[in-house]
Amino acid sequence: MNADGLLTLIAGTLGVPPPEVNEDSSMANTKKWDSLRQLMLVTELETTYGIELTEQEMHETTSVRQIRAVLAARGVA
Amino acid sequence: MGTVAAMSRSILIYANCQGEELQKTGRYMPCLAERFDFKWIPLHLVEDSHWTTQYGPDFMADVVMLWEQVETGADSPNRTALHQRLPPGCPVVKFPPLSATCLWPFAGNDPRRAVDPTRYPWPDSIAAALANRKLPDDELFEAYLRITTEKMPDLDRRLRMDVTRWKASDALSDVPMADWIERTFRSVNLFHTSGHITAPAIAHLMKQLLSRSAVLGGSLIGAASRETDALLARHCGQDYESVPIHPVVAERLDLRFYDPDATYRWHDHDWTFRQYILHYIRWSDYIG
Repeated sequence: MNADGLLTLIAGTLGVPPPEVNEDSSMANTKKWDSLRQLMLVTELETTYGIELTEQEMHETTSVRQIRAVLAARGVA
Repeated sequence: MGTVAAMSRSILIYANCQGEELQKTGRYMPCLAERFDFKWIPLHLVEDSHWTTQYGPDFMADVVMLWEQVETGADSPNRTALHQRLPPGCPVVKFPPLSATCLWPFAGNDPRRAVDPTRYPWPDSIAAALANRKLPDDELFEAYLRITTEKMPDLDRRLRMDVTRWKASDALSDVPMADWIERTFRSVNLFHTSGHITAPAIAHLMKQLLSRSAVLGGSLIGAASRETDALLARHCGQDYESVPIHPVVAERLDLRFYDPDATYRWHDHDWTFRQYILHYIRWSDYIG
């Protein structure tokens, strides 16, 4: 999945227009990115990338940058 | 005059849409009528300006207790604003939001929601991926069942993820709910969607909050608790959008309340699991 693909995936999971998600987006600054959507996002990332995130990684995937870092560390993006 | 003075006491609920159910239940209780009002601030909708326009000093003046739904993570500016405006010494009871994701394991990305977020607000990524298939109903539903069965995740792990989240919310709360949900969810349907709850869940939460509300006094707490059961006995909870549960999910999580032939309310409709999935895949209109 390319860079824009990840942003589209996040937008589609949060239910917000894609332009509202960018490299600086996070739980802290995106209103619809609440704890429930966060868990949906985690499971969607697992399904899409065929990985199983550790508890530590789940805690770390609360921003676009952190998600990219976790996916890169796993070698899937 | 006495009535006016008595009515000028409110329990304030700061919560997501589950707070509205608590508010309605409180307002319908005969034993609390003309003694306490219930006010609700929807934490997911409140904006900065509301603290001066809607929730200013007049709104807060008669608040004698706060029922506060917690959120994990950093405190939001709204939560800080709320506490700054409470009357001094106002007692607070904290409670967790109720949610479950393990019951709908394919909740995830549906690009259609980016442009039309409200038509089907509870996403299903497998159904979304089938959206462009031009197949008759039977074949389309068969394809959905086949793919979802193949891709069904480890639901025990998903349940553990939910339990971890419930316990994290409990740790911030005065009202623990995690153990009760874990003990109950297989025998009693507690969730209409991942974030909307049924009457038994509302009733349990309401009674837990009442029992910790010393401002009511002991006899009123008992009466209100009994009236909660009576009021909610025939109530369906937040059922206007009820997302059917996949039969394989029901089997693997051992959901004993599950009826494979059940219909689920979706606004003005009652749909089976199959009907819901086909409507969702096709993103069908359902109003009118």
